[in-house]
Amino acid sequence: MSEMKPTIEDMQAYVNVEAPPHVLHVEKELVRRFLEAVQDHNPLWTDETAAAAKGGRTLVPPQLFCAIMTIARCSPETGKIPVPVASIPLPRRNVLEGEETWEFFAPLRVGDTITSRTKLSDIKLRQGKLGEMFILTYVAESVNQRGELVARSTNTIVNY
Amino acid sequence: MGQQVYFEDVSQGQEIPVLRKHPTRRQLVMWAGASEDFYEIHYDTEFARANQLGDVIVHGRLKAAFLGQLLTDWVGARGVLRKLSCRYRGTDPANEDMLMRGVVTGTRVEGQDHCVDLDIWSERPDGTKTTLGAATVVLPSKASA
Repeated sequence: MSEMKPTIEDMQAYVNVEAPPHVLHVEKELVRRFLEAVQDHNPLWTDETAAAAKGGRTLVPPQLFCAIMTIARCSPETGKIPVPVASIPLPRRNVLEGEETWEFFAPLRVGDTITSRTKLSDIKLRQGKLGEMFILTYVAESVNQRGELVARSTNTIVNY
Repeated sequence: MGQQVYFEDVSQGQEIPVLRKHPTRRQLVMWAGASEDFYEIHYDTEFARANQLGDVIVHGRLKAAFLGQLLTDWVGARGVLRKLSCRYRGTDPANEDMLMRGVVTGTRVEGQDHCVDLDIWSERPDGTKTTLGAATVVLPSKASA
């Protein structure tokens, strides 16, 4: 980790550069942990018969499971701060989530392999109640193993 | 699970059933594990205070997942959540009731799909709306049932 804080000009170099894809295997156990953490007991997510009513032969996790695909991750590269793309540095130490949008297309199924491609689409510098804040916007597309678009998302974080 | 809601049952201004959540610190730790978001502001009081926060706060994306649950509970087996957006305007402490709410803002037919647009939000016990969002769901139609 460098002692020099990146400036807005340094950060512009990362805009629209696609990061290495993130691959997620949608395993039953991972979905169970998601559901327990949310405390979502809808039988549609866990009951094969209910899932069949949705037209599938395998279980369909809730769409917001996509939230953990494109999510901020605490990786060795980023240290303690969760960020959407590990290879893009943050100018400041702290992060708050700003806003996000998800659009859902092909249904997600247990057993799928989802590949998400994320890039930093915009960066702005603002003065706020927490002082100087960087507003970073990331866009991501997630496709399944058949190449079908599953979700598209936009996530904005506040870095201060 | 209640009865299936149909497009024809829905009208503008209608409020959908409220979902009450009560995220404990333990639940925040479970979410941290499930989502791999181990940022300490969500479980370490001292760390949160050192980061200009009063105490640990609920993860934004856990609130988004709660809003997703509000909608998927409502649309039932034959409805589909198509779009969800939210802005995190305020922070929420752990161990407090959180109401997830939604109001229908419009209904429209788009091709074969019977779409319903909603405003959605999370609310603290004092009425403060900490997360504001919008969503689109597709419901089955009685006409094509």
